[in-house]
Amino acid sequence: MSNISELMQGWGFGKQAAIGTANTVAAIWRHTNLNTKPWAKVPVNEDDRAEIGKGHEFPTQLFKSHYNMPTFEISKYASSEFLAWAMSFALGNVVVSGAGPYEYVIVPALGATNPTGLELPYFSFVQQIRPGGSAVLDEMLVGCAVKGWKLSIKNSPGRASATCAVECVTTGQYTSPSGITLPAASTPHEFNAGMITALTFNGINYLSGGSAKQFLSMEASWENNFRPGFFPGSGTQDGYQIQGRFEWGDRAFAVQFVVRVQAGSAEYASLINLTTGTATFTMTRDANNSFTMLIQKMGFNVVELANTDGIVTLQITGVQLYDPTNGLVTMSITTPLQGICQ
Amino acid sequence: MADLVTMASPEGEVKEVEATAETLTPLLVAGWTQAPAPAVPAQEEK
Repeated sequence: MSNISELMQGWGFGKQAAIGTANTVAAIWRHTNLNTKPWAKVPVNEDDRAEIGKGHEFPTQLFKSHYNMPTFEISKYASSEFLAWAMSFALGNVVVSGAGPYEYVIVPALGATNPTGLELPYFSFVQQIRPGGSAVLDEMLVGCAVKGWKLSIKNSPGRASATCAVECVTTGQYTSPSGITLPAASTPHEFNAGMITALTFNGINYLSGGSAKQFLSMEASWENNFRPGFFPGSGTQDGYQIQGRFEWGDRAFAVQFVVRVQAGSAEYASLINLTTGTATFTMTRDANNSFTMLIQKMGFNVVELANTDGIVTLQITGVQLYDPTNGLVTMSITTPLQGICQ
Repeated sequence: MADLVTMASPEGEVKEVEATAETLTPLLVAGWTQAPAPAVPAQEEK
């Protein structure tokens, strides 16, 4: 037996060459995780209860069906490295430049021009408890993809004020033992809400000027809505069918934020007048670590008067419009780590 | 000055551009992708 705190997790910061080709150790990093659960493997069996001709209605035989792998959350305090990884694997179209620190510019991939069609980059996920001759757990899940992420900014102190939770899926293919010696745990360059250096939504600057003390919190999220990946020839593991691809469906980009109401709050007017504009959110730790989310065209869908911990607030749901020239959103990240999603 | 990156269009055109979000975003939206930097030709021996 072992305590869950012994669980070590590592995953590919580089992308796999193909969905069934695992990352090598050189492209795997090790990180802590705020999610305290391991990634469960769920093989599913079926039986013959629905088949007639047995003389009764009861099942008589078991059959191997498929790996029904649950989604898994990697939840971390926001850092330049982790945000670069999450955005790259979730959005898919990545340009990297520089010689350290490295600049990553990331936009959502387009099916028409993406080299892998509707598929995003894949990575491997390693989880271990006491790896070695008598490991409690030592396996590598191959062919993982980022289903979505949620970036949360809160009106609170410390690292918990800026977090990012990434929801992952995997095919069912795995190797055990993993054959991977995980490196030492990374020390990411983390952000907190005090490091926000740009916060302008739809023409309203929440860092300076008349609206400087209004902003309370924000949640931005991305969802790839993957289609099921079982198909003829998708593959097997231990005799169970596995998924052979994750293709994005109707992707969704949501942004909600909460601001305090004051005399002359401009949000209602923006909603009623159908005003649209860019939205810029930047966190800057230092010259080597920054994150910018530039939403190219944001309007307000809902502006709802509310009560947040006794303060009168507006809960605002943005609608992110696709601009024909600049697209939906651009993530720009500066980080010391090379090779993310490469 | 920003670093330069090599980009390739869907039609195969290749060019070097400044690696800024302002420059790269319209190209990426138009289907351009990052391409390997062109190899530097070896200098001829004198």
